[in-house]
Amino acid sequence: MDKLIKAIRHFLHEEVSILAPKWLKRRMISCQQVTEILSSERHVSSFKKVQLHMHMMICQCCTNYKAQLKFINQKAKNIQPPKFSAEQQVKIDNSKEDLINKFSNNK
Amino acid sequence: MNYSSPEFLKLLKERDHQAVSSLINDYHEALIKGALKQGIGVDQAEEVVQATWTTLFEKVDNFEGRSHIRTYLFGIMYNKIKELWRSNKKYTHNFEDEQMDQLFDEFGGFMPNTSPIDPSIWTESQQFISILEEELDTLPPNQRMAFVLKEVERQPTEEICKILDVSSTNLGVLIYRAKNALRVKIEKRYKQEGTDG
Repeated sequence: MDKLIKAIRHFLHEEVSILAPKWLKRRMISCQQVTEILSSERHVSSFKKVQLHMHMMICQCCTNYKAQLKFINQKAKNIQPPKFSAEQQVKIDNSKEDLINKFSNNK
Repeated sequence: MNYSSPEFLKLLKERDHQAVSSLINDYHEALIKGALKQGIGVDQAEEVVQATWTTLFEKVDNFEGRSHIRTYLFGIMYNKIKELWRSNKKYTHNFEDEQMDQLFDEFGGFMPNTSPIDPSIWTESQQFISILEEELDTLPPNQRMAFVLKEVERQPTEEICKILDVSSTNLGVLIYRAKNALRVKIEKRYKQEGTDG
């Protein structure tokens, strides 16, 4: 079923690319605009949202793009800084003391 | 301690021991971890954070408290990191506008050879996070910072704009370029691995 939907999207997108006149293509929301909206997550007008939704229905490229972004965003949450070793932690704690003594006036 | 209060700011400017101690104890490790997430080593991160505190206490007399001191502090740190990258020529490849334009035809449609692939192959990969971290390293500083603050640290947009000193529109552009660059590079890596076998 999934493959069928992808094939239909691909076919529709190709047909629009071939058959739609240039003046119409220029008025339609493009893949570039769609990717910009999806990546930057900026607010768009209701009309733009409808255009975006309709574009996504027929464009497998943008559907894949959206899925890629979603995956990258999900995995990015799991990026962690390396943990401090015991030695590094001691060094950091000592740095804190030195900084406090350096920048404060009294105890 | 309420770091937003005028009373705290007054004590900090007077270099009150308790105020200074509280601030440093609360934020020193967070600053180091923030620096580490930008891909620099522990020793360099410590140097950057030391320089951050020095700059803060040089400028604190002029700090009016219009933003939270945390935002101010992290803003100083990210600027120090950008300076470090500029001096080390840290990033190797700049995903410029020209390369972005090569992804799309004259009507803004994806070119046949740049069409995004189904990411299902990525979901099967256990090395995806390592690959993502490696490709993050190749992004220009502003793009990397914007991406890490937004998607790794999940900071609100308004906070990121204050830290990076950019408008929300500019931040949107940075995030767009960062994400586009990342996904193109990751796609290339997986294609290459597929070719190499």
